[in-house]
Amino acid sequence: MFVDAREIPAQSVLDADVCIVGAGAAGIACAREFLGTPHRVVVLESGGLEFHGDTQALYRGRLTGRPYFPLDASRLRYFGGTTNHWAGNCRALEPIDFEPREWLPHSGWPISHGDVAPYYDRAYAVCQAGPFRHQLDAWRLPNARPLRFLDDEVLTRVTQFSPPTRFGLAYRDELQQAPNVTTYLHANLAGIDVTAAANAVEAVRVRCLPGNEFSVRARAFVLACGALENARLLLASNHVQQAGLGNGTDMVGRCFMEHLTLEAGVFVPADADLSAMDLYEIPDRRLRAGHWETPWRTKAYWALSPAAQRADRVSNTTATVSRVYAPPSYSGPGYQSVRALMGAIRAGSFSGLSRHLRKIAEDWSGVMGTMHWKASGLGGEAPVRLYSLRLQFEQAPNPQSRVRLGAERDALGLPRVELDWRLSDVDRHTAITAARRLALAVGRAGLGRIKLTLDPEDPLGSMQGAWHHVGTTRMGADPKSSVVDANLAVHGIRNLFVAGSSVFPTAGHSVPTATIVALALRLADHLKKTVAGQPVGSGRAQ
Amino acid sequence: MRWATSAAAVVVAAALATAFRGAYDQSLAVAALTGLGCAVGVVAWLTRAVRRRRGDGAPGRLRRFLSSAALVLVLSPLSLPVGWALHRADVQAARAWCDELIGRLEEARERTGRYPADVAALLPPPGTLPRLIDSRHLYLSDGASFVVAFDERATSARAVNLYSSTLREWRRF
Repeated sequence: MFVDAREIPAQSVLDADVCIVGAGAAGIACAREFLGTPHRVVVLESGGLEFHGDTQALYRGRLTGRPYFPLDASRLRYFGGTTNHWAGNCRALEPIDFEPREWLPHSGWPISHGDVAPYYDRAYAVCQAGPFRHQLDAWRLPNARPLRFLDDEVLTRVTQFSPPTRFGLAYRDELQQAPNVTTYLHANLAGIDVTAAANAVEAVRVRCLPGNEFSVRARAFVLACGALENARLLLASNHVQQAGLGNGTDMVGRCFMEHLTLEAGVFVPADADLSAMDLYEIPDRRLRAGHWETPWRTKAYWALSPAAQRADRVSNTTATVSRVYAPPSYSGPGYQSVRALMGAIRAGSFSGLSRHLRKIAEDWSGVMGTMHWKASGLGGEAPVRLYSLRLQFEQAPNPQSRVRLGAERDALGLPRVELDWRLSDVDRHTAITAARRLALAVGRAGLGRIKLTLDPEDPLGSMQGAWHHVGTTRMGADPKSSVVDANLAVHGIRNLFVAGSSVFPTAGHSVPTATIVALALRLADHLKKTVAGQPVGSGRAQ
Repeated sequence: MRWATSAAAVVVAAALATAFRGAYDQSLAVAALTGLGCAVGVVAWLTRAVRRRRGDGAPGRLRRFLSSAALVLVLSPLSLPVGWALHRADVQAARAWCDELIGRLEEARERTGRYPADVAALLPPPGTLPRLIDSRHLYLSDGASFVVAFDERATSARAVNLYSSTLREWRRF
């Protein structure tokens, strides 16, 4: 059921088996796992069912490092969370994403791909992205002719698309009707109260914007508020541990990562028959209509093989291509007459000369516009043969790239977040080296030509993030270098768990949503095993 | 006057051909100049008609100049075949230069076991490269293989010539 937390009497104390803070992809996926179970679950959502500016303003923060998206624009604070503006891409991580890679400092997960893989099937179902089939061969594609690279140094992989699922809409009815799951809307976490030894959470304090405050006691608590907010809430809960909960080794907030995205060059395919490119470059219109023979929507992309990553000592890198469209004047009567006229003159014929000249005169501005476009270097004899190449790769973990508490406070009295986003030499090396590897692989196999446009002196100059917040409460076996363990429990605090991409030790090669959901499902399974039969507030979940 | 007009037409055509060398821009320039020539021709004809109506039969200096200019401009398409021939020569020169470079790369591999990481040491002094060779986008190698490529940048813009050491062949697309 849904309850408006603003109507809860002040100083009330609510009891539950599991308290989940945040109703985004991770929080809702985790909460749904308890539907129909004997466990009582409380979900605390800061926002309501719709966007509201006052609540969203709680996400404002300050940027102190590299330029980044405004912190209240790159995430959403209402029921459904950031899935409310999610694009819908679903990709599973690869085995190499979990492995320690000696050229990538601080890499390596405490769990393997095999530990998460069983959950991807369920995660894709939650994301409504169709059956999880990561390999290209598993899809019946009308033009399934992936470009064949030599030695498999570059692989063709598949993205599956969610509609995209707005978790707040898709699962609202389920959660509203669930007798054992209560979602409190407009309920903001104001603090986490722990035992004197700071080894267990006793309760969380909830504060609403109008001012009433109450507490929730539970056997287990799950922070599922996103990578910026999870770190902020741990750092701000500093009554017992002055550096913040779980921050005894100063790791909370560190290693904030993104997927680094940049235009790397222009791809000219060698094959005049461009149907193979239908795998890789699908106009949005066709994507929306359902491109394939299946009801599920997919799109292919290139990925550097693990062997190529090892050889080049680069982060996991993918590449997508998108068509360089001609201006509308390209297909206008004037420019088409120019083309026809040139062809006729070259063939020694002057047939239709006056007709073409008349059309050129009538559409002179279109002719000049096309000429200008061609002179800019983008044009060609057949514009659809040109594709822009976009690289996306995981940012290397960098402890100096971090989230801190700022001096300014929000309307609830909590310190606002500060993001000091920083890159490293590994990222610069990856941008240049992976782009060259792709260009060489394409040329070597005779598939076409990639003309790189990256500036070797400043390859990340035009780089952007992908709106993916990763890291800050990283998973690891060693508390000195991580915040949560393999079961996502905060080191040293038995019943406090973290869900979401904040626990990723490395960002992985792909969009995080499917993995966020898979890890949330795995956490739910763990909680179901551990919370049963334990008294509320005992903090004994293992 | 006829000799001067003919000489001017040749000079203009030669200038267009050597400046644009068959590139797409040459077609544009020729189209524009031809259009301008037609317009100037019309003005020259009108000037002549006006003088005739006035009974002044002798050709004026202005009309002679306009007629000559129109002729020179209208003859500018003569530059196109020359430009295309120059373009073909440029492509052949670039290809020949690349073939020589490829030979030296193979020699380097026989000597060192790997292809060089870049070809800066194998390039001639700046300014002496074949016209179509852009040294920034010429060569890529991982030591075990390489690719050499250049754009034709001609009437069929974006035509690419690419050599793969693995395939051991040129491809043009």
